Amino acid sequence: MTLRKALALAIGITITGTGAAFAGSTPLSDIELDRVSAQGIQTIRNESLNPVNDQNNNLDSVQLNDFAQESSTVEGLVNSAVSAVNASANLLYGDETTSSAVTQENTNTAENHVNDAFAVDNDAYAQNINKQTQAVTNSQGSSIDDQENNNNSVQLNDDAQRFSEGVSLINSAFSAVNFGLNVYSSDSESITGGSVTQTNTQNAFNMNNTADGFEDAYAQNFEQSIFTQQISNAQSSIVTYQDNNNNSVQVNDQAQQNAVVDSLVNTAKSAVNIGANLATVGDVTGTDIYQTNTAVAENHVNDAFASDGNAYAENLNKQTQHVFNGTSPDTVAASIEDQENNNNSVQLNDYAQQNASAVLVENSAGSAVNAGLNVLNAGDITNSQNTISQTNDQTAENYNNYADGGTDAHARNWETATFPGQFISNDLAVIGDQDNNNNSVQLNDYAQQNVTADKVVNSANSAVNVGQNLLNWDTTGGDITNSVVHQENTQTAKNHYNDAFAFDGEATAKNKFKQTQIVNNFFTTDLSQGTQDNNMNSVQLNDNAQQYASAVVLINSAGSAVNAGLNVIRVGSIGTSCITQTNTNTAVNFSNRANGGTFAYAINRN
Amino acid sequence: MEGAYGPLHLTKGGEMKRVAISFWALLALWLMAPQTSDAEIHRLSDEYLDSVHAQGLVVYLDYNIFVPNIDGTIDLNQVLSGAILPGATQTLGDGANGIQNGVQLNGNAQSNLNSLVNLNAANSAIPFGINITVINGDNTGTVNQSNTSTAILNSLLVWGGTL
Repeated sequence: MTLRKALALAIGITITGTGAAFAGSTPLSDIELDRVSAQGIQTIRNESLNPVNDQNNNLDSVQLNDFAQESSTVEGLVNSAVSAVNASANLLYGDETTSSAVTQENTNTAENHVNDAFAVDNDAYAQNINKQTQAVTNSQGSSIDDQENNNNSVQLNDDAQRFSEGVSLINSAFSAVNFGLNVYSSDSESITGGSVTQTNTQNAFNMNNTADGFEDAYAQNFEQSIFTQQISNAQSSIVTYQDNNNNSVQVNDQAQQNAVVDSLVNTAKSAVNIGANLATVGDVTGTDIYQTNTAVAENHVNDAFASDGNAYAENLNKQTQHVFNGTSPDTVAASIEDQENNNNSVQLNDYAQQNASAVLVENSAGSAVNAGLNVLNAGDITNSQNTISQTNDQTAENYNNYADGGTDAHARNWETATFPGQFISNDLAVIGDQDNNNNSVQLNDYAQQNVTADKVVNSANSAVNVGQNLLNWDTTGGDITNSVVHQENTQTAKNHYNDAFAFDGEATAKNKFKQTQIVNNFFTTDLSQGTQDNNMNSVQLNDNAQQYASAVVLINSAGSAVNAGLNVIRVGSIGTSCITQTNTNTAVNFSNRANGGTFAYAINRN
Repeated sequence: MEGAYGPLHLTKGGEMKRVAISFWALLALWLMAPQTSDAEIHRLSDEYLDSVHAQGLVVYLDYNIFVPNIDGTIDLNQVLSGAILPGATQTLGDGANGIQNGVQLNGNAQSNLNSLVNLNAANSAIPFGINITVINGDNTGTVNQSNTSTAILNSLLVWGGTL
């Protein structure tokens, strides 16, 4: 039985409640098959009174435990769950060259759950519906020693990927990821004439929808269950250790400790581009050198156009996590010793990524991130009159909606639950340690201690661009004579930006209940045994996190739009030359724009 | 997408009309803004006044109030109810400590850190550019360095009205 057929049968059971539906002889059409979604909903119920020793519940997630991939030596290692991932590299090692043309190029497009609908004379629907819902119930009297619930998340535990070595190490859950690397070396020999061109062109689109309808247009990501992850620990349940990760990255224990790689990337529910161009040469005479990274990362970006009807560009109920511990007025308290609840967050604990060494260390959750790097190490540069050019052109869009309606237009991010965002209910419970992270970055213990990297980026619910152009970063450099050197970073980061235009009706552009965290510690709850950290849209570093870290650029970003552009040139003398360094940055965070024929509403509401 | 606005909303009217609308804008803001020390009336700058449209107006605020067209049909209830400064909600029960929209470093976090650029951003818009040229010898050439940055945080732009 093929996987497609199996999925189709599963749907048949769900719809009818019996097996009769798939007993017939009529095959499902391609259109019907295209609608099949087997990975969308996971429901776990533990009703037994017998203890559960160790339970892992993963929905569209990457989880590595114990010694998984420990001490791996790889060129490229990718662990991917429901993701689109491109990883490519061009490596050229030569010696003295004359009038040569060296071209290295990576052109990658990764699209994950991207829909495009066009209707000539009717409604258009481009939607992802009920793709990402996980519900776990530990019933009354259940006994859970260790339970890990990962929804669209990356979780690394124990010694996973410890001591790994390689070029790229990518762990990706429900994401679109591009990795491109160009390396050229003349072994310190001179190059004369000709050109060196290194290019990465990358597009990462994750859960984007485009709808173009004559009447109504629907470009939506929509969870009808109003939450994406719900965890219930009923009265008298005993939970020793529980991790609840929703759209999050969590690295625990010694995972990725002492890893030595070019790029160390953990990404959940994100769109990510990583581009690097590295060239090492001796003297340069009359050679044009171009290093270019062009990257577009779009995560949950919707675009709806309705020429004669309503346009809906929306993300609905994509980022809500509910955790219930105990329920009064029951009589026996739930007991929770250690619980970590991460919603759209990055959390590193223990010795995670300690002593890691990499060009890029990136942990991103619910984000759009571009990292571009151009490095040229050269001796004397003479008569390169056209140009030595290093360029990063980056656009990161995260949870943005664009609606253009003939009548009404709705561009919105909206959590519609009664308790939207992250809702933690500690009601008749004894709680030991509890971390509640909502759209946050939290590093504890020795996480990323002594990390050595060019870039360290921890990003939660953010749009982040990092562009670096470095000429002679590793060397003192020679003279530049009769040449043109150009370094430029052009960056746009937009996070939770909505734009609505209604020709004849109402325009609504809003973020509604997107930044809400409710932690209810009822009077029946005992919190005296441990520590409770509650972080919303926050960065919290505890203990020895990032201590002795060494990086050119280090970013911890929560609920933000961040651009970092860096141009560096180190030279001896400059003679009859023109050096240009430019950064053009635009950062837009939680902003809305509404243009209505009648009314217009631009709202951030909580 | 941002250029999707049609000619219907191009600026019309003369300077007097603009002044009149600005007056109504300021009046409306003053009437609607919470009268607390945290909520200040935002004086419209020349930049914002330049973008005032004949049938409505543009408002730049850092909290959750919008101003639609001033034509007597204002319905603010939908927006004003539940609006909380500065734009995010965190509710904690007894005995809990929390931070929102903040950066908190405890213990020895980031101690002895060595980095050229170190950004800890919480609910922020940060455009950061840096240009460095180190010349160890003579310079008879030209060095041009420029940073152009735009940061927009919690901003609401509204056009409304019927022609």
